[in-house]
Amino acid sequence: MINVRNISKTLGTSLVLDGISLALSPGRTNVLIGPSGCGKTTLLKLMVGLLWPDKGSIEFDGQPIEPENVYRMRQRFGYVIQNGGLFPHLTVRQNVSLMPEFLNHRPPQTTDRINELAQLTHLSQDLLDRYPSQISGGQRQRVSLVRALMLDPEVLFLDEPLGALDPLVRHDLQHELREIFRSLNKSVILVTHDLREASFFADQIVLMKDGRIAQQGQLTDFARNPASPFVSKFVGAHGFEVAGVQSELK
Amino acid sequence: MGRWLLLMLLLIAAMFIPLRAKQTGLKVGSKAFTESVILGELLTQLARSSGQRTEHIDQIGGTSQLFQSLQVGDIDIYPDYTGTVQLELLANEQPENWQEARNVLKTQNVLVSQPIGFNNGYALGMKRDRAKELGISRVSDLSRHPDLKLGFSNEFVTREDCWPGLRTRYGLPHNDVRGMEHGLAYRQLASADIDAMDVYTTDAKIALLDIVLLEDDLSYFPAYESVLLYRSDLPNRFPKALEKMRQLVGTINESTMIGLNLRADVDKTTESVIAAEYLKQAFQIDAVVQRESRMSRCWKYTLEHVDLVRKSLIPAIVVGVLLGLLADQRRKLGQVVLAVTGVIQTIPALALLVLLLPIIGMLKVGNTNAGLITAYVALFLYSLLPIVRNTFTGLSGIDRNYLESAEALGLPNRVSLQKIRFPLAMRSIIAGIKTAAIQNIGFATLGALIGAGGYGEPVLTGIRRFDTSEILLGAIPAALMALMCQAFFEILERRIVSKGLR
Repeated sequence: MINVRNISKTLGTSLVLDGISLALSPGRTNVLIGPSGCGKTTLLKLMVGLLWPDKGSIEFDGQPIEPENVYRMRQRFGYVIQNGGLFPHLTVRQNVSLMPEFLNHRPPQTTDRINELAQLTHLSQDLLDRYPSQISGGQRQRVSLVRALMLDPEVLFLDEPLGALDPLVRHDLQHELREIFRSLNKSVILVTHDLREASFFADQIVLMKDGRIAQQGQLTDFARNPASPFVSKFVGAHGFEVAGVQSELK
Repeated sequence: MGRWLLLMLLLIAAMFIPLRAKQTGLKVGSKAFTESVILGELLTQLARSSGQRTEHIDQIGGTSQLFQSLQVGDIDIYPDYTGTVQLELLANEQPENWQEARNVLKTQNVLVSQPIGFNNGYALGMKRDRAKELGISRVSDLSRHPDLKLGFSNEFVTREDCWPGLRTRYGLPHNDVRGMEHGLAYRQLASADIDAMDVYTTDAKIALLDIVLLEDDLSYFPAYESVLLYRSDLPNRFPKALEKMRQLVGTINESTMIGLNLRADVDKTTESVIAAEYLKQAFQIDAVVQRESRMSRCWKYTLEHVDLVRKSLIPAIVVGVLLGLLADQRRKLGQVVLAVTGVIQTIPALALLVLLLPIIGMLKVGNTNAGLITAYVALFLYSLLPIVRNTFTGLSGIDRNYLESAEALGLPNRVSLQKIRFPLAMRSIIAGIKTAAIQNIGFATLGALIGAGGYGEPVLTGIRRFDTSEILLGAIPAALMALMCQAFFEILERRIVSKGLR
């Protein structure tokens, strides 16, 4: 579905991505993980065409993503950016209706879609006419998700969707999100720095370090057969048992 | 988009609702002091007595503005003085004598009448008691008192034939020399804030404030015979009116003029009444004096002021917002735009008016009033900075998250600008427009200096005549208009800026 071919990207003076290749298969949840600065968010932005690679190419559904087709491509993507990125001057309803309105969808159709997704994400109706500043952080994340799903995208990108939430809300929303992903049966690409969260969601985890892929697979693969001392250390630091390494936390 | 386009069109349409009476016919000009206004009023009423429709554009700023107005055709005739013409207007040509000066003017398509009959030269004046106390009776006595505070009209301080030359001739040592508005200088002299000032020898305030004139013992000041300057096309365009106006030549001597000035300054009689009475007595002409009530005058000033503000502010809003947007999209070009609008803001208003008038006079088409257009342009330029800066600040200060969010959603640039960026920047933009509008209302009072009317007109008249109520006739409505404008924009902000941003 998404094919990343030998991508390099320099931001300012630092090389953020260093010849990454990656194939993501449809209908599954893929998680990009790594310490901060490893390039995971940059990779995500390259996939949705918010940034352009210096070298290499990215294909979606067999077509390279290029400036000429990126606007059409994006309508097939749903993107939940860090902190939600809801527009503060628009109500929840206006926020999620932006794209359908721009594409001249019929208003009743849009309303139906909003109601359907509100139900899916457990958003109550009376929140729809509030402004983002008038709802809680967890609710904002749900609204962001609704906005990303409005056009029924083929791929859903999420950048640290639970990053700014307190632990209790985070725990509840994690479970809900997984249910949603399963019921939608969409390709999901999610960025996080928390390995527990990653293993909770992922069909496949891509662990990154310094702009390269350190290892790719399931958490159990990482724990049993770490590809490098970094992988052992990373997995160990999250409190998991790693072959040959005694976790610092245990 | 439709809503904004409509608002824009409404704004632009609002610029063209006529608020000013169209000026046609003969136009008489005068300077911003009583005597010149009286002479202008005499000319106007004489011209009218020939049946010619005539307008008096009084109290135009300085000599050079008036002469420029004459050359560009905003006025057809105005009273001036031989000394001023020779030494100031023709400073570059340096004519040796009056005959030569007339010839030079002729090449510039300006004709001069014979002298009206009085000399209104410059002199230095002091309060009688102060002069007595210090034992000063001649200009040369001043050099013994280097600590005296001198307050001169702005023209007097800078003109070569005035203070700089006088100082050299008499070797005057004074350091405390201030330039100020002439009417204000009289007030400062009266309150002893200054010790000596420049006066015109026929000024009624000399008698009124008990001022003694210092004897020009080195004969420095040249003759200032009153004459009429008019466009060389006037004899063809309005021969009968010119014939009537020429009747003034040789009929008014110094004491008559001081008498007329005194009527204005002491009795507070308006210039038009003074002129009418004089014409009746001297020429048996029954002039019709148009006496307007304060209310109707205030209304007229209001319309003129609103006109100045809208014709400068509305284009400034359109251009300013576009420039602010440009500055945001092209950051390097934006720095240049911000720097240029910033520099314009630092040019003193009067200087900007004087710099612009000849340029606009050169470019002017048809029968438009160059002074008025100059005022529009100057006010437009002054209004740009707050609007450009606030638009730029508003747009460039938007959180990157929102921009990325809009882009990731798939909104094209144009739509994101209209639905996301402008609404997010709206509070800052409106604040900029509000600042510009309030500043504009204040600055527009300066329009009166180049004959553009507005609330500045009664303010100038009031300063000239020592008439506080006349000053307030301009100052109070101007302040009210600024307050109303402030309130309007606050309401507008509440209507336009999203509740989600509060």
